[in-house]
Amino acid sequence: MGYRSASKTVMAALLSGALLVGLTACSGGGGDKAAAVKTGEFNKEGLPIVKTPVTLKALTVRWGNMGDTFTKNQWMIDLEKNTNVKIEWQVMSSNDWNEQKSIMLASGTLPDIIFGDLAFSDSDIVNNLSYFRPLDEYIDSYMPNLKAALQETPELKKLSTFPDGKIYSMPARLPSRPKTKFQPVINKTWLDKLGLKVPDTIDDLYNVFKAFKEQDPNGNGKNDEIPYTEKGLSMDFLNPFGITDPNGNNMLVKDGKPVYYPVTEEYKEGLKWANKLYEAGLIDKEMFTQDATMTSAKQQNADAPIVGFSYQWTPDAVFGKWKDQYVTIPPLAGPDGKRYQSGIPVGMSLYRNELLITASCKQPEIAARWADQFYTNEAGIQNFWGAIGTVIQKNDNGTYTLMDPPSGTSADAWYWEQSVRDFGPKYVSPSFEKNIVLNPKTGDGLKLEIDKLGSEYVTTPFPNVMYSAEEFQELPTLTTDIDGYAATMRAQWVTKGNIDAEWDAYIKKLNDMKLDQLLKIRTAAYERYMSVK
Amino acid sequence: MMETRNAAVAGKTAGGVNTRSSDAVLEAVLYGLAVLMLIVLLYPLYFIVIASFSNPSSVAGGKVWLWPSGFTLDGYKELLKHANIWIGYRNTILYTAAGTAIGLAVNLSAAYALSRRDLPGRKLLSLYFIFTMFFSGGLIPIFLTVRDFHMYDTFLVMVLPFSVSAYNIIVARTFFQTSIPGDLWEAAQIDGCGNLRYFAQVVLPLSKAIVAVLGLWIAVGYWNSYFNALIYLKNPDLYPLQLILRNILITNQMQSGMGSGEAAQIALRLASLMRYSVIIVSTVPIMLLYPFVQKYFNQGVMIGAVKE
Amino acid sequence: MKMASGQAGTTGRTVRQIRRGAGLYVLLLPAFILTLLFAYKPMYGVVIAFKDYSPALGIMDSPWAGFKYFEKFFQSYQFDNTIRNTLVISLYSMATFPIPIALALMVNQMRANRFRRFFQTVTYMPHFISTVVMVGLMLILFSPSTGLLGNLYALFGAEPPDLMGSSGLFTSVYVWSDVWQHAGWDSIIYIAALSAVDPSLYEAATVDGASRWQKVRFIDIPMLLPTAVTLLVLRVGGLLGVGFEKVYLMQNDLNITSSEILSTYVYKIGLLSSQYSFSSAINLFNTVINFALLVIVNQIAKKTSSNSLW
Repeated sequence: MGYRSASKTVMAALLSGALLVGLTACSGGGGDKAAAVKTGEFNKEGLPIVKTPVTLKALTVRWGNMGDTFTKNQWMIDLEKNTNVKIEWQVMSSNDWNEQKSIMLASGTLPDIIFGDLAFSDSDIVNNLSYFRPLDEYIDSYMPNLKAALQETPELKKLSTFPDGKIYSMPARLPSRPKTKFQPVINKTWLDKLGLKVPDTIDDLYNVFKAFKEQDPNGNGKNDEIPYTEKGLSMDFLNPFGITDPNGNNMLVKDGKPVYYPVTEEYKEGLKWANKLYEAGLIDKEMFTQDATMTSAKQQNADAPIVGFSYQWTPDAVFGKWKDQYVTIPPLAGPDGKRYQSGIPVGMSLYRNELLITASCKQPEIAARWADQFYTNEAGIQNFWGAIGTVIQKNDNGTYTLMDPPSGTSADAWYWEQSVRDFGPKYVSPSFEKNIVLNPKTGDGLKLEIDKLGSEYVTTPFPNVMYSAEEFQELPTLTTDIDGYAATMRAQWVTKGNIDAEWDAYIKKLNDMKLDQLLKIRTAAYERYMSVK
Repeated sequence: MMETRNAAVAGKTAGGVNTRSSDAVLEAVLYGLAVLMLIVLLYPLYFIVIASFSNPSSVAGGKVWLWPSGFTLDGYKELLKHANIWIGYRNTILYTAAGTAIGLAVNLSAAYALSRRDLPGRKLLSLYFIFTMFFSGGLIPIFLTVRDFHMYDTFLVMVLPFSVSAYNIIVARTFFQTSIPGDLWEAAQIDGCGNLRYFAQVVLPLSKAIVAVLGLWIAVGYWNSYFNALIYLKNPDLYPLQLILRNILITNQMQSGMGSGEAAQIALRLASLMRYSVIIVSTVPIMLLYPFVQKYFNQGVMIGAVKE
Repeated sequence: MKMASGQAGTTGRTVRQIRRGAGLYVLLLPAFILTLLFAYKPMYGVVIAFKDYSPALGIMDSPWAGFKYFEKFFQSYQFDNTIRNTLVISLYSMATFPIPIALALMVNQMRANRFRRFFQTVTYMPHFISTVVMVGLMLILFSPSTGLLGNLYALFGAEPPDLMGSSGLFTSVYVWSDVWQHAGWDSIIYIAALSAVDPSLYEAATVDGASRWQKVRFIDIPMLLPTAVTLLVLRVGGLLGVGFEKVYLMQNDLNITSSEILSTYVYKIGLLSSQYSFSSAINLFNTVINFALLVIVNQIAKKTSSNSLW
């Protein structure tokens, strides 16, 4: 190989490399511009929505491996026929969505419609506002169903208003939802075996736990009973002390003012009580270290039930073959004699970010009209359980009942397969709900039944407020530091006690971590939320 | 040669009694330690195997010791219900084969070039690669680059763009530096052999050990990878095995979000059930690769060539 | 023994050297180009750390933020803690560096071929266990109530330590479980290096009356030294880069004071709201420190042995 050719090769390679870098360095995103809808094609009201069929791209994120089975829902199929709008679904799994989300946002090409609140969080939207269209005009002009819903349930409007005063996403109201979140569940068989009454106060609970631990209620001669176990200490355990936190943000509303409860006296009392139980061996020593699998293994222990008490959605959810031994009881009375239940007084049914129309969408009116189809009562129930005729039975007297799931699958799993369920726009009016007749023995119907035990004690929680982009800059570090520290001390005080001696240092440290700044942000957001009419 | 070695093994050395007894002590300690380590290593591995045949509640509840508890094949049955596992296997085998071939070619060549002290600009070039081990533009710019080269959602993206590993290059370079004597190149030059031919016909055959190790590292890397597929692939027909398995095993996120509804409970149960069978299904094939590669690590296979 | 350099001046010599090295440049070319295109071309992305990056605006059009995010990180409450935890884990882990080497030496000494191959195979197997299963396994086996550990202690009537729920023990549990899992795999490169030892060296040593131990000390170990030094230097270059997944899975409220490291902290703040610029700044800080350490250690290696990275 001669000098000239070798050197040329090397030079050529380096030059082409540099050229490539230069040429392609400034390429950005940007896709093709789709054709705008032709005038005369679009119908402002009535069906179909467009005269010639149109295709819109929609993205939805579902849990785990659920896939796109919901597209076979008959109502969805009919929708396409009736509206002339075909949807090209892109279904993503929640598993690794976070990374893929960054890529999608960075590449700048989003589909026309974002469906379901699992896709983009408040912060994703607020920080990338130019990607999403403000919806106020579309709701006003093209979405009569949603407009009526917002008037009937003003809370929805509060929920969906972004910090700049506009609405960028559509909300949902789910049907047949309870007011309470997790309720106390206890092993009734054990109570009966030991001749005990259902505990009414926290002192009763202590005595019951002691009896569970010492008197072998599962009758297998082994001292294997665990009166209370959970994966980490749930705040529900402190409900009797006035601590209710269904949204998991460490905030309460007391006398109309937001309060950070991990610095309150009630919280302190609650932890002292928990520590008392822990030291008496009444709380699982592994509560803070076990993972979900191990907790579940205890709840479904193979040869005999070993868990006495827990906070759950329904009593049959987690206990496997022992589920018939457990019942839900009313909330326990705390030191002030009052009862408190975690939940939402207007019902655990309101959600936002269920549908977004992106700036990439060239036919937003069509998308808006298409979305509005979801906001009728019948649409609502068919997108929560399944289509009429497959899952729901419409009866002659105007009521709706749920059919039995096919063998081999649970009701809940069947609904997830047949419909979008928790996700996507929907609205079922409170007045319509009485037409839905659910089986009170299982699933959603059962929850409504046991809900009655606690619904009158549900406190108004710190709502799901919206933060501005600036607030989102500070919030993550504040919460990671402050809430993280609170959780660490919580675990330490429950397991090792000594809360009185360490309390003042704890408060001081939280203040050093800028607790006041966190409170300021939360309060500002709260006031904005409450001021929306 | 061999006879002398065997004689040494048998302890009949010229050194006499003292050497023999210290050797024997060493031998005893060696094997004793080895057996102890085997127990510590084997038990958890054995546990995984029997757990894959056990009731998940029993496993997490500590009921599994030496035998499966609540024997069940459900872990495997559930897993094999997913037909796309076979697509995953096919893809992963293809990616691993192609990726390893490309990776070996690219990295070994560069490593050899850098191992030569007479390479002009050697220091700078080494730094060129090492620098990339530390500084990276980040996921988003790299994604944009891949997309601009039209490699997004293609077979190529899985085996070419990320095939250069500065780490592998450095390790292989060290190997070349210490194991290939300089005299060989001198001799070859006299015979009129160029660098390329020398590399292909002399260096590589003498470097079976490093080729084997690097090949193993690269192959295992491709076998286990899922992240690149997650970011750069959209078409499920191109998904590798690990990505498919990940999607089957539902992560913790799901339980906390779905609450304790029945569907979430079933998901948790299935995940616990399949956790161990997934390991067996996904790693046994690649583990079987090692014995074939092992023979290249046998002592005394190389370097006799210098004497010729 | 290089050919006599020409006296025609440095340019002439350089030209001649490049010509001689032409084939070597060809060997370098594929790796060079791939690195240029997929590592250097995207490197402009490091500016994200100095900007208020928003995906909607793109990297080029996002406004400049200077050192804002670096300051935010330095002033954050978690700065000291996370760096300290990361360093502790890293240094502790580095102390176990000789173990794969010892393992390789051990395997090399085994004469019984079948046992040796069996042993070697078993040692590398744990490497393939996924992190999720590994941590799950640890939770089960170390459970004070139902695990192997708990039962062993119970046999002797003692109270088992809560390995997974102790902040004092966290680093030890993390590091030693890593050793268990990866020592075998990590020893492969050393076994390969040892296989390149010229057998005649052993013979010569035997003739000189060397014991097995002396052979190990004077033949095997020097043979491994270049590889070991290289790997050690590279290891130092990864000092602040303790892996995320395993620590995250092992974290709980009881051990968090020792288990909150840089990568888990970055992950958590990103959960609530994607903090592209902030996490990018932390990562950049990370890698700058790592690289600086690498440069220092490389210099030391250059002076003390003849092995260095460049």
